Amino acid sequence: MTDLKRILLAEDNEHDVELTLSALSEYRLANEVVVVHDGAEALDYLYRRGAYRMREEGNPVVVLLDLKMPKVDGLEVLRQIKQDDALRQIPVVMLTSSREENDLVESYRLGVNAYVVKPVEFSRFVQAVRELGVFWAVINEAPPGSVRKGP
Amino acid sequence: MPSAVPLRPLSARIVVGLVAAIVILIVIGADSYRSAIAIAENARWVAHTHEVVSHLWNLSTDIVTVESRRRAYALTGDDQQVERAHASGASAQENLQSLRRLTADNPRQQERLDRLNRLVAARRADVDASIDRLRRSPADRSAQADFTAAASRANDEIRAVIREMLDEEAKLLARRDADTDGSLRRTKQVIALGGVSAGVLVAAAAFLSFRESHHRQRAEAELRRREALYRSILSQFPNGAVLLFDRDLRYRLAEGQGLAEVGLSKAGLEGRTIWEALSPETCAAIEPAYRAALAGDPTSFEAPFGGHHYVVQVSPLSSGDETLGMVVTQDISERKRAEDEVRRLNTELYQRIIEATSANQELEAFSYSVSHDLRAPIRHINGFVDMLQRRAAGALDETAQRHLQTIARASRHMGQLIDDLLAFSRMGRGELARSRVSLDALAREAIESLRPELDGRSVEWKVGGLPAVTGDPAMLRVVLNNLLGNAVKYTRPRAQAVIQVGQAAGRPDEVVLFVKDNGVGFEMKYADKLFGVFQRLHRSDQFEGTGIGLARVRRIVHRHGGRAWAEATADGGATFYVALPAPAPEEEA
Repeated sequence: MTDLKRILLAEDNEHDVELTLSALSEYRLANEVVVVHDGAEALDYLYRRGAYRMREEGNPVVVLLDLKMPKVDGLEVLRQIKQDDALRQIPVVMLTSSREENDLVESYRLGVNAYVVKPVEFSRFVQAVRELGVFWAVINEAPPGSVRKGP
Repeated sequence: MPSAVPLRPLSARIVVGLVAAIVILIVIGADSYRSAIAIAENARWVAHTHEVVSHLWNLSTDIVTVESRRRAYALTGDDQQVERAHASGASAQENLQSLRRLTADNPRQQERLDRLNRLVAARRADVDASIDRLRRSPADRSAQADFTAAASRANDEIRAVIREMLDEEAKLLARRDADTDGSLRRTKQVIALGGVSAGVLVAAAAFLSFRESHHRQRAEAELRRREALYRSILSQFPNGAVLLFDRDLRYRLAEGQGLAEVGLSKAGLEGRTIWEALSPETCAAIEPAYRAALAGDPTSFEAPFGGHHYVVQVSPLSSGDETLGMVVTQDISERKRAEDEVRRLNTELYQRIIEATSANQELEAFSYSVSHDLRAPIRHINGFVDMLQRRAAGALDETAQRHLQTIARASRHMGQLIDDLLAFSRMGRGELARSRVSLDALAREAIESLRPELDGRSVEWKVGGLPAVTGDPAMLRVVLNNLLGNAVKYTRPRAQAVIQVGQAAGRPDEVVLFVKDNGVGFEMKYADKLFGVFQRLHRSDQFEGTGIGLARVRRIVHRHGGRAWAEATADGGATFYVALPAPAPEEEA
């Protein structure tokens, strides 16, 4: 197997999760995705606490964040990641339904690495997710401390 | 207050004139006194001379009497005549003694008296001798009765001396009279000249004094007139009052239209102290300011009084050598009311803004919700239909597959509608980023962006004479893209499309852009619907679109302060007009 890297997907909507995984699976990236369903869970995963207390060490190579989530929203998760020296280097991609200018501006202010509006049309959605996954998980050289899957 | 006005002292000229007149009168008095003394002295001398003359005449008479008694004795032998002769001789001797005493200061007369004394003594001796002879020899009486030549000579001598003395006295008298006359004349002259001078001086002083007094009266009258004028002016002082007070906080003056409005009066204030004229509360409120003004510090404050609101200025006022305080009050009740009204309106406005802001925020929240929550299910429908098509493609018949395609198309359309609606909503919010925009450049960019749709079509563009305007470039780009896009779309049935873009005539304060095509046009009765949201005049299977484009155009144009309209005929092409405010002259360069 190739040297695959882990992807953290924070998405509260099961349909979106399924569509995203479906899109990633077309490029055999789906198995490396960890799905969490709200911002709090995402932070638990990143800080290895709560349900993820026992997980393996290492940061995901990319975090795909939905903007609107229960408990802790995407912007807050982004803010915490970018404020923490240990997490700051993880690339974060906002994957959202919103085209709102305010969200876009705020995300970039907080230091987001990419901001993607999910297209309505599925083929374009697949295309967008594929490119994201391939770029961040395969092409982009992950920062030190990211999890590497052994051969 | 005439007493407060310093008057000029009597003119120095008047004083000098009066002093000179007094000096002259004193001189006249002194001279007159001296003259009176001289006259009195003269009178004494006259009396003295007359006494001397009288004694001389008596002496002369005595001498004659002695001789005539001797002769009477000689004729009659009467002894009584002898006694009488002796008596006259004694009288002569007394007269001589009196004369010696009277002329003691005149040596010449004394010398004459000596002579006279001797002659008289000799004469008396002769007479005594003659009488003795007669007594002894009465016979000779007749012979001796005659006046002897010797006796006559002696008498002549005596008379001559007496004459000399009389002449001397007459001369003295004449000289003294002359002296007295000269003195009197001079005194008369002094009195006349001095009197006239003093009279002139007093008259001059009186004239000056009269003139001075006249001037003073005129000045006082002028002063009173001015005071009346100032008071009259002050009494017209609008919406307030002017008050003057002194060190005792006593009002010296109170004028102004505002006095009556608060129940005060000129008479109730002038001449009274604040404690006499006003309530204790008012006094307590104003006293510190009044005292401060007297100490030289002006103050200004606002205070309610008698149902009105006043701004009160208390300031020091130097009036001659005393410091007064001046109070100027202005009724600002109207202004206060206006300010209260402004405040109330502001509060109301603020309330409205809060309401509007909150409505806006609700709208934002709504848009946000639409963009997130409405798009998601559509995406899901689209996504799952797609997956279904992939998975079940072989298992579905043609009709089922067509149904799936319809579902996918409908969901895409729904997504498009939502996106358009959000874009339209965003158009109404946010600030306009105004700058100078070349409509010509925007038109050419729009044509460029339409290239893909022109494939296989014959379109003739006539673009020219487009002006520059002031506006938001991004929004105006949307306007031109829409108008030119529509023109391209609705000329699709034409073998040769002609699209004209240019400037039309309009009002002087506007710049009018038009886009004219030879497309399918529309019926003018629907012209108003054209610019409504999701309003379409053509079926979407003929011409695609959601019907948001012209709504966005009109909204953008309205936000720029302009207007948009259209003219067309069914199947006869359409012309769209956009009028924007003309740029300010300085921006034209």
